[in-house]
Amino acid sequence: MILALLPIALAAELSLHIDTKTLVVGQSVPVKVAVINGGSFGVPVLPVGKGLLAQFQGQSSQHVIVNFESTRITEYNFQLAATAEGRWSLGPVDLVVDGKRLHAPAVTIDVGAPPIDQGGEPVVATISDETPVLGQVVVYRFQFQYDKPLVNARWTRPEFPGFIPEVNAEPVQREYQLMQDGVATTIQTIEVPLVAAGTGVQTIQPAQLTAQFRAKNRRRRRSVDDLFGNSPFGLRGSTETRTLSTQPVSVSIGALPILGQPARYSGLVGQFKAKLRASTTQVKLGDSVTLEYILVGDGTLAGFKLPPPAETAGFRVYDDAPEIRTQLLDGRFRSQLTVRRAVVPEREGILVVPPIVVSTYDTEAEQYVVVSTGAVELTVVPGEEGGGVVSSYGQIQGDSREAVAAIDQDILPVIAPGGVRDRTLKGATVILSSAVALPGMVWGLLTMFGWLRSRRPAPLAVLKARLADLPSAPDQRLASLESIFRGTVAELLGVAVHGLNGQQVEGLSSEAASLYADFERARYGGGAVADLEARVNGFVRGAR
Amino acid sequence: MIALFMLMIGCGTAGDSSFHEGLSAIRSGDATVALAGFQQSLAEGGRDGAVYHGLGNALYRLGHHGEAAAAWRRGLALSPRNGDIAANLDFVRKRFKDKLEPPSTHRSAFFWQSFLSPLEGAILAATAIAFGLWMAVWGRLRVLRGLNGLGANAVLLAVASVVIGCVLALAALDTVAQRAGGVVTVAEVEVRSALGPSGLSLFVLHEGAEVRIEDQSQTHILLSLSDGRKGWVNGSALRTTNPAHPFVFTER
Repeated sequence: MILALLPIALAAELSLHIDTKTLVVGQSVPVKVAVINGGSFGVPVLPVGKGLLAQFQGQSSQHVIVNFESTRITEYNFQLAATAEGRWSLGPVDLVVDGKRLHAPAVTIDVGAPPIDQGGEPVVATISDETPVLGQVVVYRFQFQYDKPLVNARWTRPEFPGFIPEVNAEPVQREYQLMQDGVATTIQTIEVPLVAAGTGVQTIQPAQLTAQFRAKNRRRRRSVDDLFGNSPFGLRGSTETRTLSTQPVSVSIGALPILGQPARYSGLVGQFKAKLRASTTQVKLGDSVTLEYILVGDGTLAGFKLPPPAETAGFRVYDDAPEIRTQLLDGRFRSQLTVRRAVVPEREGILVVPPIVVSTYDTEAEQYVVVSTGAVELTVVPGEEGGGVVSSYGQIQGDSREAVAAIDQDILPVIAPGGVRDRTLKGATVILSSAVALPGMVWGLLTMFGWLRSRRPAPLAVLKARLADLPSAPDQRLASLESIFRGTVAELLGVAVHGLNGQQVEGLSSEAASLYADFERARYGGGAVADLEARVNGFVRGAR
Repeated sequence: MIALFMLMIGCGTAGDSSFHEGLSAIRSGDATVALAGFQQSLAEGGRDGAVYHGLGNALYRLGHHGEAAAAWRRGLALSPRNGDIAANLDFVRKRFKDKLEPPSTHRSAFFWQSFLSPLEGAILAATAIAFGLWMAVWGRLRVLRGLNGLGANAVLLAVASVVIGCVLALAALDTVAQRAGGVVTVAEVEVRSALGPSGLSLFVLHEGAEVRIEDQSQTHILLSLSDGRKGWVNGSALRTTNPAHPFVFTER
C-alpha cells in the first residue's frame, strides 16, 4: 500500500483504504485513514452507516525515501465490523492537515447475510428457494468452513437436473474470515446462479470437496525443510487429505399459473422495476432522441426483447442491442438490462412517448404483474431545411423492381435483364462444339496434308526414272535429256529450275559445267552430242 | 472466330416478350397471368435465370412454395451469382417442415462451380481449348511453309490452354450431373424401399424437401437425402431442378 501511495505523495493528501467492499454480518476488516506528507492533530472521525461499526485501533507513522524525496505517511487504523445486512457508506473523512481541510470521499460497503449455520458440518449445500417456479432464478450455495491451515481444496460441481445455467452470470467464489467462539474461522462459498427449467421434484446430488489440511508436526528429526519455516519445502509429508460431502438438495419446481396469464406475457419471472429517461426533451424533426430503458430485477433477463411501439405512434424507433449486467452476492441475484432506443419523430409538436409496459410474473406476490415506465414527453421543433424529409421514389418511372412489403419479410423481385435467352448448357452445345471442332478439323487437315506431302517420291528418283523412258525423236530426246539434267542440277543446288545459270552450275562440279556448256551449244546446233546421253546418264545416276 | 462464337451465344434472345408480359403482370399483382407469361417464355426457349426467378415469384405468390423453390433452384443453377434468387430460396426454405441441409453448390476441387454457371464454364472451356488448337494450327502452317514450328514456350502455352479447357469442361459437365436434384412439390409423400406400393414406407417427406435424384424409372424416382437416407417416390411428387427440363405447372 505504501508503494501505491508513493506516486501521489507530492503534496499533502488524505485517503481512505479498505481491502474489500463486500462483507457479511459478523465480519470485521481493517480500515486505514492515511495522511500523506502532512501533519494533523487528533484522530479523524470516521462516519459509518447503521450496519457498520468502526473502532479506532491506533496510529502509525513512517518515512519512505524514493528518488531522493522523503514521503511521510501517517496512518490511523480502524477495525470495521459489519452488524446488519444492507448497503452502507463508510466515510467521508474530513481532516485539517497543516491548516488546510482535506477530504477523502466515502466508500460504499455491501453487507450480506452471515454464513449459514452449518451445525458442525464442514460443508453444506443450500438453495435460495426450494419451491421456485419455472423461469425463476435460484442460487445454489456451497459453503465450506474450516479453522485449520488449509493447503488446497478442490470442489466437484454436482449436476443440476431441472435447471439450466443463467447465461449472463458466472458462479462466484468468495473467501473471508470470521471470529466464531474466539476461533478464527475461514468461510469459503461458491454460488451458482440457476434458472428453473423443468417442473416437478428435482434432486441435486451431493457436492464433494477434497481438501488438504496441514497436519500437526510430530516429533521427528530436524530436516532442512524446518529451516524454511512455512515455506513450500516444509509441506512434504505433513498434509492430511479429507473428502467432504454435502447432503443432497431437493427442489420442487412449479409451473407458472395458466390462469390469469396475460396475452403478452414477457416471460420474465421475478421482481422487476423499470424506468425510462430521455437524453433530451426537445428534438428537431428528422433528428433522433435517445431513450434509455432500464429494467432491474432479480430474475433472468436472457432473451428479453423490448416491446415495439404501435405503428401509429407517430415515431419510429431503432433499438441498440440490450446490455445486461448481473451481480451475485451472498445468495442474492440481481440483473439489470439497459436498452438505448433511438426515437425519430415523424411530425412536429408535442410527442408523448407512451410508457413501456412489460408483463412479468412476481414470485413474491405469486401473480402476474405489469412493470411499467412513465411516459416521456418530447417537443418536436421544425427541422433544418431538408432535414427529416423523406423522399418518395414511388412515382419515378422506370423502377424495375416490383413492390415488396419489407425486407426480410417478403421475397425479392426480379430485376429485368437486357434480354432473356437460353442459358442452359444444352442450348449452346452445338455452338460450343463447333468452336472447338473447327480448329481441330483445320489442324487435322493440315496434318494430313503434310503427311501426304511427305509421301511424294524423291525428285532425283523421278528424274532417274525418266532416263529410261526417253522419246525416240532426236530433238525431243535432246530436250528431254536437257530437262532431266537441269532438274537434277537444280535439285542438287536446291534452286528453282527456271532460274538456273552457268555460274551456279560451275559451282557444282566440272562435269556438270561441261554438260551445261555442251547443252547450250547443242541448242544452237553445235557441240558434240553423240556422247551427251551417256554422260547425262552417268551424271544423273551418280547424283545423290 | 472465337469472339464470333461467343457473340452467337450472347446475342440471341428467346421468349423475351413473354417474359416481359409476365414481369408486368407480377408487378401489377396478377400472379396467375405472370405464371402463364413466364411459362410461355420457357416454352419459347427462354431458359434464363431471370425467367425462373420470375416463375418462382409467381408460384410463391400463388402459394405453391415447393414449386417456387424448384423454380428458384433452376434459376440459381443458371445464375449462381444472383443473390436475389438465393435470398428467396433461403427465405422459403425457412417455411418448410423438413429441415434438410441444402445441397452443396460445388465440389471442393472445382471451387468455381459455386459462382460459374455450367454455360459460363463451358464457354471458358471452349475458348481455352480452341485457343490451344488454333495455336497448333498456326504451328502446323509454319512447318508446311518450311519454317520452324512453334517454340517451346508457345507449345507449353497451347498444351496448358487445352488442359485447362478440358478441366473446365469436365467441371461444367460435373455441375450438370451434380445438380440432378429435385424438390418435393406435394404436401406430403411417403418414401418407400422399393418401386410402387410393394415397398415398405421408410420415411415421409414434406413440401419443399430438397433431394438428390439417384435413378429414375418411367414412373418413380430413387432419391437420396443429405443425411444419407434413400428411397423411391412417385415421380409426380417431385420437380427436378435441371433448368433444361420443361417446367409445366398446372393448378391442381
